[in-house]
Amino acid sequence: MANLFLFLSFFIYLICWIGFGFYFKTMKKEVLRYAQGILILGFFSHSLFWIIKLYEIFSLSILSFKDVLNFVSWELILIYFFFSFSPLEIFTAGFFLLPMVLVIFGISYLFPQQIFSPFSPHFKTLWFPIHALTGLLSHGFLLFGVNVSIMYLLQEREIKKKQLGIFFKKLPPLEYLDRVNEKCLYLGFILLSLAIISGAIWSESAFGNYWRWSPKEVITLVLWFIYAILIHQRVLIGWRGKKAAYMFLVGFSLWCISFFVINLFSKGFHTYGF
Amino acid sequence: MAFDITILLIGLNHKTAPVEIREKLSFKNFPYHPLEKLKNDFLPFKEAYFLSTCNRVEFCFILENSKKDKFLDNFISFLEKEVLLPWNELSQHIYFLENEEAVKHLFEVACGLDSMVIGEPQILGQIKEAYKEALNFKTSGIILNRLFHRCFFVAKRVRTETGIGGGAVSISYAAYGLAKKILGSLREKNLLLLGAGEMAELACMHFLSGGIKKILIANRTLSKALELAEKFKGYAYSLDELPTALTLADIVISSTSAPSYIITKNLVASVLKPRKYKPLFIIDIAVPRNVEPEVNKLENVFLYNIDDLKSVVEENLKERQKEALRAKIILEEEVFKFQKWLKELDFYPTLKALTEKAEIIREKELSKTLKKLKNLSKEEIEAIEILTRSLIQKLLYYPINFIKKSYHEEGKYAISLIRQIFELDEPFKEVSDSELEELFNISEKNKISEQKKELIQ
Repeated sequence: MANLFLFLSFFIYLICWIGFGFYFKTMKKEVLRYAQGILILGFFSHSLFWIIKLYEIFSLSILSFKDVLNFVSWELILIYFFFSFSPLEIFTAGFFLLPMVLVIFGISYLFPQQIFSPFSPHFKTLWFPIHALTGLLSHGFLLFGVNVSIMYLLQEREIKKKQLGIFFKKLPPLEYLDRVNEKCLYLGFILLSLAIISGAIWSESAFGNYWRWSPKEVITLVLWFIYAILIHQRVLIGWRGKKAAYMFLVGFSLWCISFFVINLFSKGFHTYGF
Repeated sequence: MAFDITILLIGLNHKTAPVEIREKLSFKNFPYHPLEKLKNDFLPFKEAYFLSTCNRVEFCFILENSKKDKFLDNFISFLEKEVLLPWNELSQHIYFLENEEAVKHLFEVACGLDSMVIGEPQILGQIKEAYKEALNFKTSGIILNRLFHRCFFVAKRVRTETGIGGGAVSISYAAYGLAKKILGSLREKNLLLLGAGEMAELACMHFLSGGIKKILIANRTLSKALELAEKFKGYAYSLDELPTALTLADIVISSTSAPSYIITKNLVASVLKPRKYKPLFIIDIAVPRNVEPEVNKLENVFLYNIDDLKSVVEENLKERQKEALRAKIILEEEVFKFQKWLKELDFYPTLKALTEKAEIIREKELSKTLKKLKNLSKEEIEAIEILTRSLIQKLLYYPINFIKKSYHEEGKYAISLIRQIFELDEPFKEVSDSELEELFNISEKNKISEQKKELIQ
């Protein structure tokens, strides 16, 4: 049953991407409305999948890596809606975001169910959902920021080189992209901080120490510092635009390491499988 | 066209006539409207329309074929009298388009395909005005009404389905579009005019109507800057205060006549920090340039000089030309639709069908009668034939006259009404005697009862 909704939402997202492609080509309001309608439909089906899946996770006491990855893609759609209802009209972001969602879908499908983390007794506290949700949401904002940064860089390049091509015509103004980027930065930072704090408290209550220097913790700390530096520079000196966009890309590569390499190939309590 | 009307378009535009001829024919400083004059002179046209813009003068007439030559003679003498130029001098600048060509041309003009700047939208408004005038002078009838409504529809369709109106095609608008792309909404942004000349004033018009927050003006002579500042309710700076002004500005339009760079890379680099690296868009429309080209390499600073903007405009014009080809396909489709409508208006097929049907009935009835009357001489048979023929002609006179007279007011409704009444679109079916009897008996009975009523009263 869950898999049915999963396939359905994948299929709908695929159609939706084509819809956003049409919007990208024509820039017509009606097309956008249809594309967003389809996206809502896909999101609905995806949410149904997650309701069933959550029941499964808690009844089997198994957290599979592929589901974690899938959850991130669900968040990305949620964040898209969050920003489309803001006055910054970055609707074309859908055209760039959906491939990301589809790729994450595809990768998560490739991972076998065996890579999982069983619920040991210390999972059964309130700290687990808080830690997991804030952590994953901060990933979501990071990925959305990366997406917007790519859009920013593509357009900035055309304007600087004075070759006004397709991205100049179709993408939202640079300033808007930068402001969405800024919001992703702040929200991502707050959520990541919450995830680290809740993780530390949880660690203390379960193992007796706040910080254990596991690879995941180290990388996350580095990511947190990047965020902190970015915010510091932005507020005090005014790092924005291109520099901020590049920093997001650096953050993204670090995230890839922490999420894929360390989660899967190192041993420890943060990892999945084995 | 079997139809006995002609759509005639007579005109000239920026391609066929120099401005001296165009201004003479524009009828702009005349005490009367040309349509009024034409109408009062009783020129033999059915409908007329007149358009005059700075790039074109066009008349469109609906004429009866038979009166075309007479009309043309009258019209030419009218033109000669009004513009005081001999016809052989005028005629080389004027184009005559008929029917399909005329319709196509009108559509092209409405879409801006025939304009100096392809796809410009003003012409549609001018056509709407001209059509309103034709309505005012009551020179627009069924055909022109339909033609212009189609015209407005086609122009809208072309605008939405092709990119004919896309992209900026003037330098100042291109600059405005770029600023919007870089800075988003301009409501919270400041504009710095460097140089208080006319160029700067012209260039900032779009920004003013786009709702800029503040205008700063920096000039070599402060008094001129103050003058302009008063006009735009802005703030004046001298050139020494340029760094301060640059710190506040988001958009800079530079148009001074200074021989060397006024805004250097070092100057801009020094204000980046106090600006907190906010994006800065510099438009340099001065020749020689006022802004060092290296400035463009600084972070979050975008520099466009006059040539860059020109190439943006040229690129957009090329794009529009490509879109014009797509628009022409749509136009052809619409011209075809209009021609179809015109043909429906045509009453000849209906007249033919009507007389043919009457002829069939006549022949059938005649042969029936002739079978019964065997001993008739040739003359007698001929007399009967003449009788039937004239009977039918006299009866058909009314519907045919109705169509011919009212096609102009009621259009195809008159025709379709007749077609329905005489069942011209259905296969021929002979009316049986019993049916006839029933029908006429009822009317007889009605007549009798009416007579009775009258008697009682």
